Amino acid sequence: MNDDWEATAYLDASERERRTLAAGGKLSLTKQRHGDSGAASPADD
Amino acid sequence: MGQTLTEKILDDHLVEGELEPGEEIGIEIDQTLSQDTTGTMVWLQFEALEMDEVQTELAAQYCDHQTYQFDFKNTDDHRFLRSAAGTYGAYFSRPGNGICHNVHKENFAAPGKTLLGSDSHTPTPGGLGQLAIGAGGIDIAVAMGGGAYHVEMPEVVNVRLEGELPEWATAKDVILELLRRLSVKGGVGKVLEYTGPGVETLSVPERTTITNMGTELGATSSIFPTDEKTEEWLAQFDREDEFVDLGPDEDAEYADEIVVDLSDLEPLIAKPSMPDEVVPVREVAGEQVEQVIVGSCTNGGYEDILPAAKMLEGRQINAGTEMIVAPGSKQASEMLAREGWTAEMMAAGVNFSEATCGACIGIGHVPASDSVSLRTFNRNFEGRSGIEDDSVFLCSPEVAAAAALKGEIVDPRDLADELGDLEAPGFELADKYSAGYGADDPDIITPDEAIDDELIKGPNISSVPVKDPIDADVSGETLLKMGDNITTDHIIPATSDILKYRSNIERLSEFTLSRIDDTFAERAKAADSGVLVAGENYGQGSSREHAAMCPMFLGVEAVLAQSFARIHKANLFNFGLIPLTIDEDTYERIEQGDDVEIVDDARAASSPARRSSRSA
Repeated sequence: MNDDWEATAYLDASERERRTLAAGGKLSLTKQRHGDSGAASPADD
Repeated sequence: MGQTLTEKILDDHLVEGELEPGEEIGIEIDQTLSQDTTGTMVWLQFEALEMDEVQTELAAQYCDHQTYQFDFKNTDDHRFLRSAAGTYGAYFSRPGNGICHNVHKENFAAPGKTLLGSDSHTPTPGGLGQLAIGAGGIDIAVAMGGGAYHVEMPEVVNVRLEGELPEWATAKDVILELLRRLSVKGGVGKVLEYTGPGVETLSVPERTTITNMGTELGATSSIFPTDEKTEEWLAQFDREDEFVDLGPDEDAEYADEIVVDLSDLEPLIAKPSMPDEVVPVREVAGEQVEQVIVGSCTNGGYEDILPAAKMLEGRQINAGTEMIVAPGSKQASEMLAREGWTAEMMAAGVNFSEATCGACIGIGHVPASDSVSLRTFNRNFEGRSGIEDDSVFLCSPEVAAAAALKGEIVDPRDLADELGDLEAPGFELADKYSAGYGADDPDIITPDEAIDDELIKGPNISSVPVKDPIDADVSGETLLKMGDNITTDHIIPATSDILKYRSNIERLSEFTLSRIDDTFAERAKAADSGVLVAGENYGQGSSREHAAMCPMFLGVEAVLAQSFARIHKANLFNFGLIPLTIDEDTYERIEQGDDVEIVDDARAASSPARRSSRSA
């Protein structure tokens, strides 16, 4: 913080939520994983 | 070991994970619902996912928040929603037909089914044994496409009801009593499952008042078992074939038990400006009341309004008090009119609203400055009524009607003593609901009757913003430091002047957090990267994902808070904002304007291999 002090913060997230974050959100993640298929019934996981 | 009712329904729909509290599970969704505030983004996201057709058993799109259509943008949104429902195969309920929860309850809610809705009060049909959960719009879009819904397995709490409600105490007082005991955070991470001999004394509409307002406890959902009353309720709509006998096993184990003796309850009221500020009505009696509204998704059914109508029959409301009745559905309006109760209420001095969320979100009937408004709604967050320093109380229709007659807050028992001829109205069901609803409802366009086969977008409907993948280095200024219980109404207000931009994120984002700091959006955009800091229960309130989408659009990368509300936290993940939990010392030490840098590699911290990470 301000290059002066540190604190601990926690990311309480499941593996799926971490994947979502890393992709920039659920829309990006779902499109990445299923966008090519154009299918009507992709699961998000 | 036996199962709770919640576990049974989840087990039937489980596609991923195990039913262990705290573990993430994936469940199949049978039904979805959206409303017009959140629905445009749901369908734009459905389009962006390149889906062809709804895959759930049923998807329903309602238009209930902006039914007055005072701006072409709202009307364009409704036309877009009709076109989306038609294009993709959903039911479309036309503007004015009623609030999503009421119309869904009357037409589609089914015991044992799962329902996911882009509205925080989606758990309402839990009163019919449906497991219903509120979520963000992208979750609805994915579910409509056949994807599972993921949620942390909640603890199941047994709310054991004993006894029977005495005269003048109502279902609203049951949920107000729970809010008094548990607070607005008391249900977080939990499903409240109602059991006990008191259950059979409550009708389905009374049960749905309780499940509707379980949302104010922060609960993931609330649910009742089914019984003869559930079957009778469904039969009123010619839907008795959808009845399923549901209940917990005798040896079901619950995480906790709360006992409520219904016979001990008395008329209660939530004071401004939080639903858990609950006291007996007598404690605030004498407060002058300028406005009374009966209605909403909590108490807007025919059966909810009828007691107030009976109390007003042959009487006049106080000259200094305005009273509005806002039914939850057009069906409720029609029945009240057909039976003559509308005329009775009008003769007493009541004004009628069309069936809409309206005043509950500050759209119409904004209270006068420095005045008290009594409402049968579920929320009284400061400013939600449309005026910043409002004074809104929440109560039952009986307490509301008593206040309208007296011109001040009064316990209806005391008013009955004073008037001498005011009888407790009780709670009465209709013999039969109007014919022609459900699939034949003239205001519901079924997928087979769709009149659109392509999306119709007006000039105010833009595309969905998409965030880039997270960077390894995340840093930025603390753009805003906030206190506890920041609501989604604080983040993106739902008032009419702002909500008309809900389909245009660039324009809507200009109002982000403006109720706390009207320079925020400008500063955030200029900074291009930053974080928000908040206390406990950040993001409580509605499911609107705009409350995550707009900060993301302005460049907010992370929210550091002492705790998060469930749906909003999911929305933060869904839009790529990092929700970081901090302790009280850290919260106290951070100042607005401080530069924050996440020391860990944020991309690595977001990798599935890491279960918990340290940041600073």
